[in-house]
Amino acid sequence: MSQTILVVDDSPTVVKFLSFSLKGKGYDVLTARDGMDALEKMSSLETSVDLIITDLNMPNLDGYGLIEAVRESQEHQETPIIILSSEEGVEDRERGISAGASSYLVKPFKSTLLLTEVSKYLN
Amino acid sequence: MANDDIGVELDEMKEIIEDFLVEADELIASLDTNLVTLETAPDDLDLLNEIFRAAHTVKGTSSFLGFEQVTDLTHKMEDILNKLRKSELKVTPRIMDLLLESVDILKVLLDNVREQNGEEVNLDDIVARLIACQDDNAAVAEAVSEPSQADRADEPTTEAETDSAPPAAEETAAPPVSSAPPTEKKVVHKKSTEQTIRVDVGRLDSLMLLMGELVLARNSLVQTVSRINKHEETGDSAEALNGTVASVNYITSELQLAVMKMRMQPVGKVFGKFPRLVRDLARDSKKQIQLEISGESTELDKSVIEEIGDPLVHLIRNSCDHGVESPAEREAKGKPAKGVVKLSAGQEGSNIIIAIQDDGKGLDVDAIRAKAVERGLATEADVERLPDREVFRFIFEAGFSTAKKVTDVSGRGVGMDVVRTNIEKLNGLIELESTVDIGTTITIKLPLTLAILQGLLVESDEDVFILPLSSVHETVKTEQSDVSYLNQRPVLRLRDEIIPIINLGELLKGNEQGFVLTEKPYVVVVGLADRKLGIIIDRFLGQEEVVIKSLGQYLGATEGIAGATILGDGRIRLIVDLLGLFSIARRLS
Repeated sequence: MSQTILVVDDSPTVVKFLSFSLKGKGYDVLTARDGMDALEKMSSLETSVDLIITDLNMPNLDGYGLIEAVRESQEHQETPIIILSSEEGVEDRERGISAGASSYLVKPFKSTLLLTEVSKYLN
Repeated sequence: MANDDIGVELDEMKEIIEDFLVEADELIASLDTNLVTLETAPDDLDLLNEIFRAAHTVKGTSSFLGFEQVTDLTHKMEDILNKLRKSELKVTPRIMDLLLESVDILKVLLDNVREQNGEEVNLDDIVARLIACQDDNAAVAEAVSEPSQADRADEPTTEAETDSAPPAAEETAAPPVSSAPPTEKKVVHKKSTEQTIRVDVGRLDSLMLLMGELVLARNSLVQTVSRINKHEETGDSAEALNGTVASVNYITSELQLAVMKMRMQPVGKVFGKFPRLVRDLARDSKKQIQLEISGESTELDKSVIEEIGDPLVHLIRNSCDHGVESPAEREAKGKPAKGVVKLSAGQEGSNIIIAIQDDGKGLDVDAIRAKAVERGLATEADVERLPDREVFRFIFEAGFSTAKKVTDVSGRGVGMDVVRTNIEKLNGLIELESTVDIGTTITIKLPLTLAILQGLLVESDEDVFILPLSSVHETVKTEQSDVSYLNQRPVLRLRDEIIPIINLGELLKGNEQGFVLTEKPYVVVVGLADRKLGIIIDRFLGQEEVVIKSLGQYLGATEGIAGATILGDGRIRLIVDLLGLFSIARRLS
């Protein structure tokens, strides 16, 4: 059974790019436009999410908020989360990791790098 | 993103880039509007955050797709916005000008991406200036705040003054702005029609729902018909058939509406660029103008949206340039120094009304009269007799301008006839009202969509024709005595107006001179842009909603015929093209 990745970004273009890219590698992809949307989608789903890729700067609920909420839930305490942000600052990286993210990638990035990162967590 | 193994196919990449362009266009439009608003509300943190996020998103996405120039520029903009947001910089006219200039360059960069022309814009100058203005501003802020931190809040004015006139020493430290060749700006923003459209998921859902209902109706229709064919008629077949027909009827009109709605876009998409336009015009002409926009959520067909932009730009420019007076002139007249231009949109039946209203000096009706005579458009006796409303129409003639001085933006006399041509193309109407020193109001009436029209069925010379109902002003039953002749052409005197009349059947049969007047003729008064024409017909047959079908290549160019349609009774009828009819009528007179 293929594994499910949730992609969260307020730019439809990024979402589309990532989902094409990940689907091409055989993963199932779910998408959300912000943190709020992501939480709603996760709670209404029957299938579980195996990995989350999220942006940081988003309306309604930002990446930090999403990560904190995900870590508080029973089900997703261990789910790997990759931050994909255009914030390059060390502060953001530290804040993201301490909120509970597993990896921090900066846009622009090499797609292969993301795919390697993803395959590190998923088989 | 020249990566080979990223799991994205070439056509998928193309789709992604198209999406990016649509997304970026929207974000940049919002940047334009929000930056102008920021000028008047520099302390609005929510607004600043929104602006920051728009620049940030464009940066993130473009970097993702490898459009380095877009990334570089938005990155520099983002730096400034971030400092503004954290109050490390202050909103000054200079910074705003730079940000808006960056947005303009961004538009060019995106066009380059869109057209895949591989062209690059030299960004050195703008980037250098974006960087310089940060240091400048920060240095000034520091210089002011250094002596005593506490004084800073008490003396915001000093700071603002220093901002606008930076010390000479710093001026030299900054790159030589004036001597550097300005970044090549393409003034003509190339327009390529979008081939994709973003549709609200809710609208797609309602379409699917209706499709489902249509399938159900078809099933029941097939069943009933097969029962009838097998002669299993039990008497209730007719009833079942009636019920199904009623629901097919209902579903079809709902479907039609749903499909039409998919092409509808809010007119705000066009209005969005006007705050910037008015701001720039006001700055250039040293006037104070406030633009008030309402009804931007009113929806119009995509094709209409694409065509309406240019005429509106002309009209708003006219209002700012010729309408609204200079602050001194306004105050002398007892008006507030700041002029107001109101742009509004709204729906009225199956039409959209767009109005542009200014509180400026109004049209000089005597100057127009004189100019019309000078240009040989009418005789002196004619113009004296014409009511003011009619006189205003002369401004729609090509090359007509009463401006004493040609400015950069208007007064060349090319504006209003372009407006007329565009509105005519859209089958719209345009009306103008003006009072000296009170202002001018221009009202444009447009059909909601060009694909489906409400048709007025008329009979002329034993043939049935369809006239677009949205262009019909009124229908009148006249007496022969109401018709008189002007230059040997028949005209109808209707209240205070003189309207040229033609005989539809004769005209379309090629008998252009033929003019047969029945005892008590019916006249349909139709309008196009600013003009009116009376069409003589024999009988009214009713109204019907019709879908325009083109006549095909070999008949498509028939003047005066827009296309054909199949009516409820299965017969093919011709739809009259008013633009063609007007030009035939003009040739005659």
